[in-house]
Amino acid sequence: MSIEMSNAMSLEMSREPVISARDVRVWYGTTRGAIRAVDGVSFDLAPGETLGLVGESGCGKSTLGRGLMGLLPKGAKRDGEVWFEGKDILSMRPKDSYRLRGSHLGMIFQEPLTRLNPLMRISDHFQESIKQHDPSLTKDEIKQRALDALRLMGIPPTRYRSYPHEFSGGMRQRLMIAMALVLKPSFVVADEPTTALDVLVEAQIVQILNDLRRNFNTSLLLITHNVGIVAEACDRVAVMYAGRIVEQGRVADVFENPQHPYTRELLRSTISLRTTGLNFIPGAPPDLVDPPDGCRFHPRCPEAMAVCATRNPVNIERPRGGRVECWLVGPEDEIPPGGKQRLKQEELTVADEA
Amino acid sequence: MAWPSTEPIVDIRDLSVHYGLRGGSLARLIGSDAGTVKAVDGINLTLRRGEVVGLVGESGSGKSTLGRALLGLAPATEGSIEFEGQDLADLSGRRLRALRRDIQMVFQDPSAALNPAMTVEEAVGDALRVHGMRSASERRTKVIDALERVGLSPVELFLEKYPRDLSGGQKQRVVLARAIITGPSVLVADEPISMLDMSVRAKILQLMLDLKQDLGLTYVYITHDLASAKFFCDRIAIMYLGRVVEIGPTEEIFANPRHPYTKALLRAIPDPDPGRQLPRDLPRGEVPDAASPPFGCAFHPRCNEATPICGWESRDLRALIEGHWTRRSAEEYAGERSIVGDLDHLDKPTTGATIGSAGSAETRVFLDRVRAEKPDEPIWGGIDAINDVGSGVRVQFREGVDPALRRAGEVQVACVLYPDEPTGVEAAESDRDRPPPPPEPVSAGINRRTVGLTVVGLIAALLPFVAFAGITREFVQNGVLTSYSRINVLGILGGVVAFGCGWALLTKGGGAERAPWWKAVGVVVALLGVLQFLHGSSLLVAVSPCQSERVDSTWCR
Ligand SMILES: Nc1ncnc2c1ncn2[C@@H]1O[C@H](COP(=O)(O)OP(=O)(O)OP(=O)(O)O)[C@@H](O)[C@H]1O
Ligand SMILES: Nc1ncnc2c1ncn2[C@@H]1O[C@H](COP(=O)(O)OP(=O)(O)OP(=O)(O)O)[C@@H](O)[C@H]1O
Ligand code: SF4
Ligand SMILES: [Mg+2]
Ligand SMILES: [Mg+2]
Repeated sequence: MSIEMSNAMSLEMSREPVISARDVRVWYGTTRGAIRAVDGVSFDLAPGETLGLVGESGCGKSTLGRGLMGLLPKGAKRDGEVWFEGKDILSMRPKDSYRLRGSHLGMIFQEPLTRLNPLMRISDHFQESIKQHDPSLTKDEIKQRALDALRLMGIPPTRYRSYPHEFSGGMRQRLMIAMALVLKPSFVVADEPTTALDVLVEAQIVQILNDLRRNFNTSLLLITHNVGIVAEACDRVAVMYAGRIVEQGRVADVFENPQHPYTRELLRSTISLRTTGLNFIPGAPPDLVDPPDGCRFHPRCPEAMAVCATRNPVNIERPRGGRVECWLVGPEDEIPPGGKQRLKQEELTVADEA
Repeated sequence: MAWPSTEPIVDIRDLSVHYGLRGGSLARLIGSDAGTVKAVDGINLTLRRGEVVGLVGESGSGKSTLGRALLGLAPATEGSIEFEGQDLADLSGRRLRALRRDIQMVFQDPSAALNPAMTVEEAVGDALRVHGMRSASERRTKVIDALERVGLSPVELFLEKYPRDLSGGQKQRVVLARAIITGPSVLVADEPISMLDMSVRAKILQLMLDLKQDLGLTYVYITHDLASAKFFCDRIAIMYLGRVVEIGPTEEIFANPRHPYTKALLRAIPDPDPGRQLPRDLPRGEVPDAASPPFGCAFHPRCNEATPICGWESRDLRALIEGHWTRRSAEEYAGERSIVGDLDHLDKPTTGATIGSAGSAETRVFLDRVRAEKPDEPIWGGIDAINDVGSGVRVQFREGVDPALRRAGEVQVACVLYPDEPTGVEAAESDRDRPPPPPEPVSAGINRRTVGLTVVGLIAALLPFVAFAGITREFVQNGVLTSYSRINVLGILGGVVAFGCGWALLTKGGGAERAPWWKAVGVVVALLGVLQFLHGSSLLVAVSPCQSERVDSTWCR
């Protein structure tokens, strides 16, 4: 384990990141005001690395994933930088970012059936998407590439001319993965790719995603509710709360030794095979139109201090690598006098529940 | 954990719920129905007062159907359900409605379970109104009490709200309030936390524990999530394709899983413990089509402990060959494909599978290559013989065994690996291993179709000779009226139908083992059909009884 870890660490340091997000922000305009779904997110992803993105519902995970791809709905605004191969995706012309998607960036969604045209054979899906991004390929070359990708996902060549409805749920998801990977993109976002699947099939897909770096050297941002999946398939984890990444680092470090109270409470409230008592975080994530001042988690945080309610926590290095933003970790010298006093929490009721 | 009580409250005996799949009406007429789905197939289960029984399994295993059957919402095809000693089937009208008060259900999706046009107060109080409580103020008192019990306080904040104003967890609380307001003793909870956010699940589960404590409820907890079942249930029944494959006390199931399916489910649970290794030996494939389940043990195609008698058949052969092809290069695949030809016919389940189109020897070489690649696949042990036929080979599989639930230690398991003699009461009641099932559904259906086709064909071909409904028509020859005949409408129709039946017999008759005499019958019926058509349309004057010489023949009037 330790050898593996130091290997991976040196890997991370020796290689340029594939993708580098800096202070990314995304708002949705509504009549109530702007929903700040992603509010200042930064991270790097090394080649072949998998980053798990976890957090409660509505904290902005999907918005971040789509924002990185430039796949936001109308009315959404974004800001910040996403560096990919020396270029900033966010400031590209739409035509260029479209060209980038598919050939260099890939996306895997939760509901594969809604992404496939029921009237088109699998072969046509591949033809169409490959042709768009690499018009120089001949029909035979396309078929060759498609069959290779399908084979790696365990779909036999006999099924190449089938229609989407002729596949089972798990096969469809493998198909989507094959389509996302056929052009060997260097960065893929997978948004809850297993949520709709059966338990055993979910485990199969997690395994496939886990093998990705070996087979394709693809970097993956894996969005999921399931911390178990993060532990099994990811190198690093980013914990998101109310539009910000509050803690990120190597999975083993973060899960064994969470620095942010939110990370700790999220892990504690997860029901796993070792659960002997039920724990939960009181209240619900805040309204992103008007999030709380200071640390956004302070109204729910069991360890909140006076400073937490007034000042934004500083994003600092985690004690064992990675980043964290929580006043408990520091920096000491920025906490005003008396700031460490325990904050008196209001009673949170079910009325505030998610 | 000791049982909360030993008193049975619900007793399910040999329960089966089968759904007929809709085929066309003509298909039904000639006996080729599209089959049935055995959603629940011979299940025995006793609920003891105060316990939590978990029904765990993948999609399509029949969990919801079993739960719905408890409420009388899914009709039992066979078997019985007794609630406090009363058979549900004997209840009717008012008594059945009274029972609905005693057994309540909570569904997975709280948004779908609540009427968007009803306020919380209306939704929760509605059950009382249905059960005949007229006084609005009385209802309101009860609603307030129920909402308080499920933690929706301050109640005034929620009474007037609509579902759209509530979060997922709050909606599920409303659904729970609605379920407990009639004072039930059994609550069937169908995936009550699956649709909720991770951080809300523990809250709802805690609430259910509190309700159980306060109200003395008995739970049936339906889930595909073993982790929550482990925490929540006293006993667990693992289900697969309509059957219980393992059942026993929760601790024993987790400490000592016996059925290969249980083991697989346990291995597959993602665990947040970073020290854990990824499981490498997951079952392949997915839950098969319930309308045509695998032979023998339904789990055998995915089982990594399967034995030669687990029910191997043609579909397994297809999966094996296609799996082999995912590991071949394109050229190798093209070559092998041309040897074995199309595999689609293997989807029709049979224990005698014919493959190969380029010669028996070549097909054998190909099979040897597949075998050499994966010599440990259990399917090889299930092959009795490989015989040359035509330009390929016929792979003969061993008859499989469909294992019954049998006692193994503290639990019961349905797997040939646990053949212990039945000793316990429940085990003694369950059948022996059922005899090999294959021929029954497949060929029976098709023979019925064959017979149906023959009968319909013959009637269509012969009836118009005796029945009359014709139009008289005169034949003019050389300007002279020489003869007249009739167009027999029935004859034309009958001829067409008979020909169709004959043709169907020729091409599809006789079932999997296509005996030559069905072809002969097909030819005869089709010919009769042609004859009848020609006769009916008067084109066959020579054969027609209505020839000019016999104008006054009774046949023609
Ligand atoms: N198209 C949209 N228009 C307006 N608001 C949106 C839109 N999409 C998302 N939001 C809001 O943005 C916030 C973040 O949503 P997002 O879907 O990114 O969260 P998430 O973390 O992916 O949640 P989940 O786990 O439920 O998928 C939420 O408050 C949501 O209501
Ligand atoms: N009303 C119905 N008509 C026909 N078939 C049905 C009906 N209800 C259920 N089935 C079939 O019965 C089988 C069992 O379904 P059921 O919903 O009980 O499974 P389940 O274990 O609850 O699955 P899930 O986890 O997907 O909810 C399935 O094959 C299903 O397609
Ligand atoms: S009966 Fe056979 S196939 Fe079924 S679980 Fe047991 S070993 Fe596996
Ligand atoms: Mg999302
Ligand atoms: Mg169900």
